[in-house]
Amino acid sequence: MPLSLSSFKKKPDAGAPAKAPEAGSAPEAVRPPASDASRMDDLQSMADASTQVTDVQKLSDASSPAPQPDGPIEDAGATSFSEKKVAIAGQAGAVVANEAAGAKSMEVLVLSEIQNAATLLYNIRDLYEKRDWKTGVVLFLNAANAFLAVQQKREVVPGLTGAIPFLGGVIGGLKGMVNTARVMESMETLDRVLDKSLLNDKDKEVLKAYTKEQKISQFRNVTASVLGFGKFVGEFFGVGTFFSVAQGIVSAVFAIRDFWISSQEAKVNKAKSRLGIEEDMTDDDREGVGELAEILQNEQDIEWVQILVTGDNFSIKNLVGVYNQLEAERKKLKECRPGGASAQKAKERIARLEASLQEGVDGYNNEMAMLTGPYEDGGFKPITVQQVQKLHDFHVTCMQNILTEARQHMDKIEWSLKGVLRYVKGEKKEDILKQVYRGRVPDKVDIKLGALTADQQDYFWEKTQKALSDSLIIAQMSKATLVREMRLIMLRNKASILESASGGTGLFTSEASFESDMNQVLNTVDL
Amino acid sequence: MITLPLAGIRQCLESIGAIEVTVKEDKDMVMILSMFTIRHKPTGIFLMVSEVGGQALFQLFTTFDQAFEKPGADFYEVLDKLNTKLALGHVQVKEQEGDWRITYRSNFVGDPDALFANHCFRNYISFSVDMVGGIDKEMP
Repeated sequence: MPLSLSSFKKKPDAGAPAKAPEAGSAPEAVRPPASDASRMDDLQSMADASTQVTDVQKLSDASSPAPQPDGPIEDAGATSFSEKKVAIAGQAGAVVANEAAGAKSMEVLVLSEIQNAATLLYNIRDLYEKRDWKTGVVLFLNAANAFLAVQQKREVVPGLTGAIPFLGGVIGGLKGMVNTARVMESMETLDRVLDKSLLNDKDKEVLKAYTKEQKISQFRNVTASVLGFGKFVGEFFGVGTFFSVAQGIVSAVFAIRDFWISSQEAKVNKAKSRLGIEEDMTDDDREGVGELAEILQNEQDIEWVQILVTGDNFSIKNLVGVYNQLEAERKKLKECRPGGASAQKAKERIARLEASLQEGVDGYNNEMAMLTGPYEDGGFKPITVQQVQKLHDFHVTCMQNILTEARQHMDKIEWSLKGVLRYVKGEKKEDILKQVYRGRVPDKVDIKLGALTADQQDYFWEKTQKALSDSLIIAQMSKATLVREMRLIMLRNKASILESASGGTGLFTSEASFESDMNQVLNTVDL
Repeated sequence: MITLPLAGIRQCLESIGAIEVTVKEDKDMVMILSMFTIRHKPTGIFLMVSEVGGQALFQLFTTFDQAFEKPGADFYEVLDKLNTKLALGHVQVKEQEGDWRITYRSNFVGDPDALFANHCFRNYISFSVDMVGGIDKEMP
């Protein structure tokens, strides 16, 4: 009688006696105990209901390859499994039949359960590929139960493991699948994680309450994870290590960009600190600072034309000086006895200074309009007295902070030989602090122009101009600017880039192709 | 140091979606930098591999971009809650130049000769990347 899987699987009719197997043939199915039979049915129905039936040979390949049968194995029975699987199962069944004749019914049961369990396991693999975690977990648990039954029966049938070619592999595979079961559980959890929110709205509000303003929001929202990553790696291994790791083109470009943006950010922070601007600028603040920076830039752009054309120089710096006098007079007035002669004189001076300031502002605007055309026609935007006042306040704060920086620097370097040497060499702000203010930072610096030499006045004025301009670097940075700066950095570092570029990308492999490769990278990478 | 199947690891990372994989071998450590696109953002995933008793210890890190003020107790409570819900790995907070950021970390120990059996290494990376995406979704 030819051997077929159906002889293992087939459940005898209820109440029918089990037939004895014919000599030299595979054992015929023996009715298992009721509980086993029902489990088998359950398992088989799950296996049949699940996805594609896979080849059990794969399982045996993983550990103990199934030997080739000694002779041809016929398969005349109808089966829902592949022929190969049938052949192996049949071979195993034959071995069992020959070597464990006294325990045939148990062996047949075991083989049948192995067959079912193996099918379940391989269906799990299919489910894994499809990420059907939930069904996978259910199937695995059933497969595990089936193998547990095999383990128990193995004790009843000594030598069964060795007798069945692939049983050792199956049992070994079970251990691995225990780990897989844990993974499956994770998969199920993951499924929940990805489908549902991890945090409720209240939790999210807590996180939101701690958020900081993104300093370079227009870039960081695309690149921040890289920036954060770089910082994190740098924290553990040092920046040098990060760069040595970042040999690939994309990461190298990101690294260059991040460092450049960081340097710009440092400039912005320094500028804002000098101007006394709080960390979180409102849009109105930013707009106001932007206008002042623009005014000063306009003045620089037009200065030489102004002198050439009008022979005069209505400078904003002078207007700020006038405002400074005006403020000083206002302060004096507060200290005068109301109605007294000195108060009257102070009021007269204030009126003159106010008129002078307004006249200066008007003169300045007229001159600018004459040189660049009316504002409505594209000329420079006129300034206001309020802007002069704001500029004055920024200038005072900037001077004050620069002098404070100088004092702190002096305090620091007095404890350091290297610093002392630097001090001996002299920095301008420290020289000014020492010469004009006798080394002490005044409670409130007076920008009274006469107290400073022209050179010193220019020094502070340029610092204020720079701070106003720098404070807007990031806000005004366009992608074109970023690409331009990146290009310059890459050109300056051509040698090291050529040296460290990984060959895998095929880029930056030669000096000849450097520029075209650079353009390709800058155009491709989403900065 | 154990011998790692670096080519297989690279292939595995790329098959999951890494757009660039860079490997740096050190004396006692292998560092693998890979770039993934997670929730439409380029995200650096850093793998640090070292040896523990003949096994390969993989430590995966990534830091989220959102900066926070110095966290209070309620902040840590939320992170604690987040950690209990993560199927793999955990989050922690790190301070850098006055900015506090959330870092995700997950570990995996495996036999270097059988990393790819049962998809275990692939699962580890894939789940970690999924976790990063899940956490990123919760960021304010």
